[in-house]
Amino acid sequence: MKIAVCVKVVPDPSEITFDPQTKTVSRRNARNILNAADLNALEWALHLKAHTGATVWTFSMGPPFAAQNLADTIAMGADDAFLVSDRALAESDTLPTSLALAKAIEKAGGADLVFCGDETSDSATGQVPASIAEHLNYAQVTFARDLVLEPEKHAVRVTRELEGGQSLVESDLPCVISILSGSNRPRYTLFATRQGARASFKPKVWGIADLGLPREVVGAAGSPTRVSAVTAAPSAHRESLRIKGPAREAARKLAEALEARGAFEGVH
Amino acid sequence: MPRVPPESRSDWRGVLVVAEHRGKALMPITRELLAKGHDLAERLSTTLNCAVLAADPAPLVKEAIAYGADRVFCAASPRFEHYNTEPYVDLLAPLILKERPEALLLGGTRNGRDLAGRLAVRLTSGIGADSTDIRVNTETRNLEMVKPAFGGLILAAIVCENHRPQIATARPNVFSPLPPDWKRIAQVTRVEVPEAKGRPRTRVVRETYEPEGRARIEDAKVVVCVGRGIGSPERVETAAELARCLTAQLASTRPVADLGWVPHNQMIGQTGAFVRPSVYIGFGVSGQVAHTIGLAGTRTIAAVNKDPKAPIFAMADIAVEGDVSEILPAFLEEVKRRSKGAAQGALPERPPQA
Repeated sequence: MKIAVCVKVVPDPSEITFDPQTKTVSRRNARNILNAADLNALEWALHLKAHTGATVWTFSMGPPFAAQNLADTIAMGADDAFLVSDRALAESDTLPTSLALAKAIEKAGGADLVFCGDETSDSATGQVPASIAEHLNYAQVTFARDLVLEPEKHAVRVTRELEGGQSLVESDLPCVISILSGSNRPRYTLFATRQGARASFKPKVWGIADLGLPREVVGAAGSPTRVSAVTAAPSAHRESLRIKGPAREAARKLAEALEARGAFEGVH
Repeated sequence: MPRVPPESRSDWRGVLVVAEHRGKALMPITRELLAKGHDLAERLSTTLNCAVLAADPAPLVKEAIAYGADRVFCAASPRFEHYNTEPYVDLLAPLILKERPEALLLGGTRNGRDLAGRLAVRLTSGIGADSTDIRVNTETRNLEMVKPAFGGLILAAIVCENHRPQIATARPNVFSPLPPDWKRIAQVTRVEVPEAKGRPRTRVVRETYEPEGRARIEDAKVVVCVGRGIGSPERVETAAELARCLTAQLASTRPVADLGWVPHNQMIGQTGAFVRPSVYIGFGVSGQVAHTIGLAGTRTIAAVNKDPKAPIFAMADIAVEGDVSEILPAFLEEVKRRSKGAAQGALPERPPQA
């Protein structure tokens, strides 16, 4: 059984800043990390590997430095890693991005399961997993909280989490599954193990020519959408009534302030 | 559709909303999208259409019309009893290529996103995902789909200029539904459902929902929210008791949900729920943008935090600087004292809310 896990290298969300003058997002001080939900996806794959002996390969589309983060996936237990990297891919929206990842998975021989995180912390569209599934012509199940392989049936049972409910879905393989962020605890790897992997492991690197993708279908040219304008989010600033002091007094003043604003209407 | 050159773009007219439902009634998100769709259709001088795929579409069709659809495409089949990707895509893609809507609105819900990602590739078009606003340029008929990015630090405007349909998804509670008009009349078109070629690759075994009475966090009028500063699951329990006393919903930030102290479906923020309560009281919430982006519609924001520089104070109407571990129990007592007083007629009549 082969499991492909798609991971994205993103700037650490807590370290990104926005300059309203230049209207640019600065990731200069942000470390490059693996998107949190993708770690949940990788953890699921490694869990299945432990139980079924599956092979786990990770795939990422990004600049050359993403090779380091892919080495981290090897340190965690992945068997091999592939980096799709090409200047021509810059400014790709989710259509060419999902296409490039799908082509890489195909080139690597395809997979029985493709796991992705449910969404990324930077662009947060949540569309890539479903798009990859369509490019590959695989089945898809998204927002998985739990999954159980049914090898005799060549199928997988997935519990999808919906708003206010759940859907239990049975899917034939091959299948793309997007994994709910926070659905498990990604394993910890020792710093020494990660450093070792970073020093010794080099992922396979493929450009668009290796994947048989012409320039017109990637980058800005291949993207139906583009960002036409970027602004700082509007200020949510409000004038505050400030309350300090001993707890009991503060609590009383808080209650008064809320009551003055009609906050307790309809309560008891 | 591959690139649609400007001269052919006039072939693409109309706004299409794909309905989400659980059997008898439309999901609130669909009513909200119909309202936005109605607004866009008016500006573009075109029609608002709704696609209803269900085992028994009739009640849903009626509701879609009441909430603003000028035309409903309905497809009846047992295979549409529950949402399932491929039956939906296999019916909608040919319908869209035939009817050529210039804009397609889907929910930024789990099922909506499941559908959008696949449909966009099937149709070779683009998506402005999780839009918090959708504007339109009536000259070019291009949508401007605005969404927060980088944890809510920036607003990006997405356009899909040369491909059709332009696909936009929006999250629950971003748009408000129109009041229903049950006397509205609209065109209903039955869509033929082709014979299934074997069983679908994915099959819904069963769907389970939370009990009807259980309130959605999106509908909460009063929210008690806990952030990392709450400190412990025991204190979360105190906050839960406070919520009960205030007839409020308990919510949390992302870190607290990830710790497992509050269920994920009570999380407010960019990757959780957007709420529009009258009152939000945050305990130990620092105010990261990825969380506060979900609060923008709140009437009165109160926050308790021991850090005077906590970002939440910049957007709070009431800013309480102090130790949550002391103030929360004190506030709970205060609330209990007041409601007991009210029950005994000790408090004066409150004026009606303005």
